[in-house]
Amino acid sequence: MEGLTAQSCESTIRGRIYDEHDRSGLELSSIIIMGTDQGSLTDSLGNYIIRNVCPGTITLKVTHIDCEEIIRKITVDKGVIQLDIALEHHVRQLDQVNIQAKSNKRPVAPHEKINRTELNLSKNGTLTENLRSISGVNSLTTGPNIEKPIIHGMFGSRIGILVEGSKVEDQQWGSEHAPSVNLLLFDDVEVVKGVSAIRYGAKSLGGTIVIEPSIPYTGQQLDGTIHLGASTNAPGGSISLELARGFRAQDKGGWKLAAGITRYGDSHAPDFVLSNTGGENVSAGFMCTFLQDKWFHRITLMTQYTSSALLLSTQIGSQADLEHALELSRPTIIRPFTFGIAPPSQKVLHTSAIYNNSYRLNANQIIRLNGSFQWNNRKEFDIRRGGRSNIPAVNMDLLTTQLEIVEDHTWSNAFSGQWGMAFMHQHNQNDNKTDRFPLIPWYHQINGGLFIIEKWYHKNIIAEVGGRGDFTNYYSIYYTLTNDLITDRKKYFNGTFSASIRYQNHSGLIFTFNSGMGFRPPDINELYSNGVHISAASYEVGNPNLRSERALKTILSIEKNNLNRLSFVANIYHNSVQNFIYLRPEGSIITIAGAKLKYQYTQSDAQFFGADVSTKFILTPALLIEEKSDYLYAVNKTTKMGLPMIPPFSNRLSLTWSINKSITNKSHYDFSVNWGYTARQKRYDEADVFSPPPAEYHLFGLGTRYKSRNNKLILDLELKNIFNIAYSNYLDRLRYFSKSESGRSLSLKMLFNFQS
Amino acid sequence: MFIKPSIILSSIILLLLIYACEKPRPINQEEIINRIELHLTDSKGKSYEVRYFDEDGEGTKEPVADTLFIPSGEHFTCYIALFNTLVTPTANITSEIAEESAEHQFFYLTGPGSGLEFSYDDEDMMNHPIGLRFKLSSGGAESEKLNIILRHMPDKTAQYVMSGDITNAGGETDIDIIIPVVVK
Repeated sequence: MEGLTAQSCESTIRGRIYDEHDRSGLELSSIIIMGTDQGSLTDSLGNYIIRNVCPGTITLKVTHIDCEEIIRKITVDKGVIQLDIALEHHVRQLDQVNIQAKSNKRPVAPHEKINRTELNLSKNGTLTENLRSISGVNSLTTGPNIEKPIIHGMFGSRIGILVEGSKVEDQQWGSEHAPSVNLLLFDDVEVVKGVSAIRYGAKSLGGTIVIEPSIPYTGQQLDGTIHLGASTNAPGGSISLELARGFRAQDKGGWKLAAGITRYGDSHAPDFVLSNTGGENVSAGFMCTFLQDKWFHRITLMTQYTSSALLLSTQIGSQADLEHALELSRPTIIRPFTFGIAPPSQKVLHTSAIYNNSYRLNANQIIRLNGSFQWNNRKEFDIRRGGRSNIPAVNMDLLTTQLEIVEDHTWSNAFSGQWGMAFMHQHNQNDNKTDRFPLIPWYHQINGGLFIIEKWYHKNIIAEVGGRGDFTNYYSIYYTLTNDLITDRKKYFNGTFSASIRYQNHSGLIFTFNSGMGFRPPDINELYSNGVHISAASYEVGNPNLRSERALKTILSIEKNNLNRLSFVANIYHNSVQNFIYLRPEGSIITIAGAKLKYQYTQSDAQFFGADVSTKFILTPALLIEEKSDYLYAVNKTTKMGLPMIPPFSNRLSLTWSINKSITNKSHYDFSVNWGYTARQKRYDEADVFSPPPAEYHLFGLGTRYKSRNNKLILDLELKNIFNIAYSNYLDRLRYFSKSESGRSLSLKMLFNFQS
Repeated sequence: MFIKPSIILSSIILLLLIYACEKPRPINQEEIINRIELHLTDSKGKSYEVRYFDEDGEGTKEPVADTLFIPSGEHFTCYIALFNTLVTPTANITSEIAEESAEHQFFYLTGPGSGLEFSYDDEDMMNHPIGLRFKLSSGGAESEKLNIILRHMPDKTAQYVMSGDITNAGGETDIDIIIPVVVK
């Protein structure tokens, strides 16, 4: 390369990566000139362009997530070379509908995907645990095992979780409620960090997590995967099985069956047992795909049961108890280790049925229908007097029906888009035998929305504009503290828009700029909740006069994908939220059990400003450095102080050394060492915290992994918190009671793939 | 094509079945303690009684506490009784506590330098104090505040807890009230 001058490297390679079967373009295929950092990603029509190529013989590597990779040698002269490459999909029949649909489906907004191998290895784990690999994502935890994702400082109902296009509807408003998502049937988990409210509907102010299955396996052999897991802290293990097979009629579809069980006992902090933090999870799912000419049907049935124990020390009755707990350096109750799950605890059963359908009207139009029904039953148990500990203190059934119809169209090579309608009905029913005021009232909720998104393609540019209108109606019957029932109706209407542009420059840098509005009508608990939060000895009082939150989020993402050298994604964003809903302390209420803090839902304008970067640098073919960091500044514009539960600055660095790594699928070993730093949160409102945010901490970990040929067997051993340090996590709601997070832990994961 | 209609039909039936549920009714507030009575009998057999009453339980109305007037230099045999008046008929919570006596302990706290002296007069099956029955003696004339605390799941074996010191007791506070006491 040395001797070549800049002038001589003027050739351009351009062309289209398409599906061999139906010649539809493949979006996001990567084309790399091996041995250089030159390359390109295809746009949504499968077009790519690589400029400034030096003459000579070069080797191109073409990869796409659903296809076998292709390596091709070509000779480059002067001028423009047209090179179209066909990739073969694993499943042919399906592409007609699915691939084309896929290219249109995603909004043009910064997004990041979980690495498939990592996901495959951690499918027994929770969604939140799996999302940790993505920058800009944190977790809000309630003790060592209940966690929910935070995207760009927002969590709960401010982010959307979509499974096969349907929003997961559980009691997402509660901070101590982990999302009811099981990953066993799914292969793609993507975090859309930009504004995605147009496509995914109200509430997705912070971002959206999109969970999808891959193209169905239609092979005539039974394809199975066994996942095993074990760990020494929160001692226990997990096992799950996935089975898939194609129908006997060739290429007519296939089925997939999955089931898993996880069971673990109390976690250990370095100096004591975190008593009553065990749990269990049992899940099962079935997915069936039918392919017929122009039709595509997919039916998914899933159910999962989760039982989690909550730290014993969290059960407090008054401000005095809380103050006592804060004075200690250990939890108030420490008992010998057990696998048992005793009150306080929660049991959640989530069952869903999802139906996806698409029909190709003609070469340019696809109609898609997505319907789902979800039933979420949540029971919470407290330590209660008079033998009532076995009677749930909270017992509610949330039933949600969703229906969406979307039309995808391609007007020409330059224009495509979609428009659609969405409908949702939700009902909450409380068990009357709890002898406690329900956290969430009895209600019916109806949502409807209409949206349109159009994309324009021009050379290396994709531009997108979209608009959406939504209404939300609530009909509720809620309790006052004097046991009176009040009937109320609420209506909200919101309109939003967004605009995005993506540009890829000559050297493969991708710039995505996305700006748009998001909105969120108040949640039912924010309007009407009226009751005690046991673990904070506080009363939470709803506010029926709340208005919708409106957010204007602007995000700029710069991305470079280079499989040989440096890859990075950097996001910088600003989110200005009008009418941000939060809990404000309003003195205390005197009860027979002493003083309890009173919190009232209120609104103020808030501002979020942040950046996250993740970088991958291949130092030598065997040595990989990965770095990830998150920064977020969030302020309540009224109080000029911080907002609750905003992730502090964090940085993660890992070094991986591979033996025997190559493009071919030989077996190989990895060794890695990682370091994680979390700063102290300095911006907070004293009224939001019972004790100041904990000090910064450093965590070190080690890992090793064996991959057999073709990834048939993967073994992964990981040592977390090597030095067994005691630290407290600001984002753990139980930090006041647990005093320390989990200590050292050794965990083993195994994946075994078989065919018969 | 049989799939779509059957799915839609079955989900509609399921919905109708589940949605045809009853509307909410007032909660049966069985768990509440909203009336507390303190009965004292002095050495001459004369009895004294005070009441602490929170009319609406968890509601916003402030609770009302009577003042206890007792003579100085006297010994009293006492018991405490707890009620829930929000259910009909009024529930006696005292028996609930007695049944789970190992999981409960009352603490009777006075200010430093007070002439009031307290001791337990009952035991659970582990021979640990409960505090449903207790003894009190008065010193000289004073105006005092008696802080009555009921802890659920305390560690009765922790240091000084059995002698009535709450410092190391832990557990969850079920009752934390103050009764003004005037010793004449």
